[in-house]
Amino acid sequence: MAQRNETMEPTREVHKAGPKTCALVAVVLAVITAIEVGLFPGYPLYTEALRPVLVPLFLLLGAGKFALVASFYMHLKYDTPMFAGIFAFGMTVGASIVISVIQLFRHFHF
Amino acid sequence: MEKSLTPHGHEAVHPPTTTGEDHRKVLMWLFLASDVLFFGSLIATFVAYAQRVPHTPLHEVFNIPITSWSAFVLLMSSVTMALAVWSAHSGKMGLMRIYLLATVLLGVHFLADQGYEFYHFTLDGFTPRVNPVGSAFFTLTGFHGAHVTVGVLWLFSLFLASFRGGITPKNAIWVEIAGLYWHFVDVVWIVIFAVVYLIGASFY
Amino acid sequence: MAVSAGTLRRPAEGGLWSTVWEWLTTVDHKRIGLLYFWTVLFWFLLAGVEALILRLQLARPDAGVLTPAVYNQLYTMHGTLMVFLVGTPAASVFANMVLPLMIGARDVAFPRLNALSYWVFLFGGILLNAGWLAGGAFDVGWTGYANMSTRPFTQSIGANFWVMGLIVLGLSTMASAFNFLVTIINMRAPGMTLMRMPLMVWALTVVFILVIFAFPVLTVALIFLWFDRFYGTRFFDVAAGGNVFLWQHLFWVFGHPEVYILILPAFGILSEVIPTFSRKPIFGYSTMVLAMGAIAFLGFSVWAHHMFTTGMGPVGNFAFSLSTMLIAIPTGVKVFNWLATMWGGRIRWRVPMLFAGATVLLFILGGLSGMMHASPPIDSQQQDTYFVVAHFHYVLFGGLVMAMFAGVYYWLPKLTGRLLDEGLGKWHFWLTFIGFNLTFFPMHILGALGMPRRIYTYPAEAGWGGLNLLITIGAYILALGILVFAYNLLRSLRKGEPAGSDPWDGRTLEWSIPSPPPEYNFEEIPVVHGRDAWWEQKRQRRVAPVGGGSNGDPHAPGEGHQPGPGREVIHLPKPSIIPLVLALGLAVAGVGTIYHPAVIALGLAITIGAIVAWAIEPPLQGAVHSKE
Ligand code: HEM
Ligand SMILES: [Cu+2]
Repeated sequence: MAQRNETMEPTREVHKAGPKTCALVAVVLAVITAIEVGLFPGYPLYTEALRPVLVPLFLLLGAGKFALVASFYMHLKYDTPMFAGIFAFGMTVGASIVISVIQLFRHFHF
Repeated sequence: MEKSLTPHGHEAVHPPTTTGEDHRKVLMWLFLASDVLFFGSLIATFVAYAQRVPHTPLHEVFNIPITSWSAFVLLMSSVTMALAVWSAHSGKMGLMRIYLLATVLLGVHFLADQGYEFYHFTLDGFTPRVNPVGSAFFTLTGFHGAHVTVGVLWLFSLFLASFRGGITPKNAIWVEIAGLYWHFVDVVWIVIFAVVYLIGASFY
Repeated sequence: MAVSAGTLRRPAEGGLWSTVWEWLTTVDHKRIGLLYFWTVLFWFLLAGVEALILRLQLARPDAGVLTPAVYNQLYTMHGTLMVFLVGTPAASVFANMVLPLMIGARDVAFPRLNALSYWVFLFGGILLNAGWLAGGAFDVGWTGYANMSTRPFTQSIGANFWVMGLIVLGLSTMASAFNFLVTIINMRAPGMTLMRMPLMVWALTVVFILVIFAFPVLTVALIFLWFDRFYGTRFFDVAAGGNVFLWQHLFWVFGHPEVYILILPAFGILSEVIPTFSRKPIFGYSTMVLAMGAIAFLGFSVWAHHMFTTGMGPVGNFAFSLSTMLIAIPTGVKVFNWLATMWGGRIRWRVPMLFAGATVLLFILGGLSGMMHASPPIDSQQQDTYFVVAHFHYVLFGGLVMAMFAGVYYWLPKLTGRLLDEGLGKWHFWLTFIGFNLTFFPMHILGALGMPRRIYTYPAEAGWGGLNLLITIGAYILALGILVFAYNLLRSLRKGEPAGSDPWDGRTLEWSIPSPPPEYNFEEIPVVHGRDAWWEQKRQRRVAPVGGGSNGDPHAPGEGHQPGPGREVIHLPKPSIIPLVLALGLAVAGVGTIYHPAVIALGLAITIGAIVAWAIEPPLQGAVHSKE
């Protein structure tokens, strides 16, 4: 039985993120990760001058990886905007709450 | 025809949906959007405490090389997962099994790393009970690990089901939604890695 | 073969046990809706009795009816029950009863998940209340402020049940919300575009959106508390650097969206009942939708107005005060639209409309007092006084519960096939309305006089005795009204006048099918051409409602219900016991966290077994209704 379905008719989804795209995105992801780790204090890409911008840099690089995985591997780039909308709503509400709570604790409450 | 997971030919009798999308996929996206708030609250708590509360110096306990490696492992598991989804849609069932298994193994590798890491942190005196930052760290990463565990079990059960004819291009949607879940767990780790590990150990 | 139309009241074929089994395994949204309804009614009565006992204690100064300890447990459980077991599930009650009918669907997207939501809700509710039996209920208020609720300050086992109960209930609420959102997104009848959906459906959509984004935050707060209490983490341990405002922030990030989760079903009900009984389409449909959308977004930006007095500084207080005043705008828009709908309409003051009209009135009062404490300086006077108690009872009882009564009189006949009695309904209404105002209006004054909330007694010299006595008398009048309601409900099941399919000359699709509807709801999926689809259809084609007019026998399937040639095959979801078993497993695991790890293991084993069985079990049964 297992043999019979080794290859079957593809579905209409087949054009989304094929092996080539997947591999290309993987390379970019790996490179960004290498840069991230390289920027860690004491590692090759790090200099003291970077210290003030380190937080935004890490956040930016992380956001880049996030966006790549979400749009290519999670098909948001190919699928109906509805899915992107649902996810974006959650991300917007989530991010605003996270940032406000962090700021409130940074400036008040202690 | 191959026996599907639902003997009555589930897809066939359902009237087409309003949006043309499968119910299960819509459900998964809603769930993921909601899970953002779950992890968001955990991350907010960690950062709120790390910036103000006296705690174990994170740069002394965190082991950046190991965590970077496991972050990389999880990232690569997303690649194999995406390929598994593509194979399922292309009807290449053999390939799909290989990629599914690879994803499962990478996931297990990640979990093993996390276990190793937790063990060493506790040896260094960084535990859930030592201070609020420890509590927040272990709760956040622990729940992430729990998500990975669920994903590993889910993907492994799909892997097994594929041998019994449970997965065909017709219900490749099962692989696809499991994939969505898996990728989400990966992007959460991307954020945790940047915020908790890299920023945390750089400054605290 | 055709099944009889009256599935909801079908006499059991195999005796009592098989009836019970049918209800335990049901995956039909209408039956689940009734299960939700009776369960919520039960919790409502329990919480009401708790409140009546509280009022006995407060009727006189220095009274000794209750000890302070019991008083604290009673008000805590009263509030928790009203919010989490009455108000929050209100959306699931009404969504199950009518949402699929209103959008022209045969069921929800995931019928077994729907059953699971109900059973988890039931067991979660029992877990939440179990503290009473295990040695004392939770006693620090429904807001559960940490660190007061952590172990050093609250040893009572009731706190453990409270935490576990709420975590479990949250799962149920979220599961229900996911299910209905998918249903709304994906199962609308052809032609039912988003901007043609009945406003009730819109209101519930917004509720469920709020649920899926607000409840995870509460869950996280509860998990912290759980870990602190059970496993020695230090989230709220001030000595170790923990901060008690963490709980307050997480709780209110959930808490304010939660008040909209509570009130929006009421907005939905008003938006259906008022146009129907005013015989006019709703005024300003699109602004109503827009207002609810604004509420969904803004609802997440106002939470810290519950924390004006915690030292957030002028910037924090200003920002949250501003957003709070902003969110009152869309709320005000809705009120104006209801009034404009009634304006010039030929209003029929039937019981649902009486309740709806009263709701608008009382909600305006509650909204005004809300606006007052949106201002930080004013709020710092009102916070923790009876003024706030007055505010939230005007919005919660005057707004939500009164609207729920309207909804029950309006829609329950659709499911039972029998109307509630109009005369008893009027008694119910007037007793409730007068009792309510006698109870809650004086609380404004007491609050202004400075009477703090959550106190078990007060000295005679304070001079609050007279108003408090008045309040207690009002509360018992209110209770009398509720008793009349309960009697009316039970009576209607046996002796109620048959409802017929369209007793109110309704506007929406649920009135186009018999009462009670057949298992599959719609013989043929309707095609929708505009808003108020059923009114349109009646006007254009002058069709008689199927199943007879208002004197028709609800048990007899209507003319149009014999499967004729060309009818499509309908596959119904298969009844299943697995949701119940899964819910039981979760509840057992929850109890295990309180008592013994072995019990957790048992619970998880049941849960996992049920999940596996769920995956294997075919979800559909054979065709019930095919071409002949
Ligand atoms: C015009 C709309 C509203 C405004 C501006 C408003 C404003 C407020 C504010 C500022 C507070 C905090 C008072 C304090 O603790 O000092 C409050 C409390 C409260 N509100 Fe509202 N509110 C509104 C509508 C609602 C609605 C619709 C509900 C529920 C259906 C609601 C339920 C509550 C509850 C339960 C509390 C008390 C929470 C506690 O236990 O401390 N409010 N409201
Ligand atoms: Cu609020």
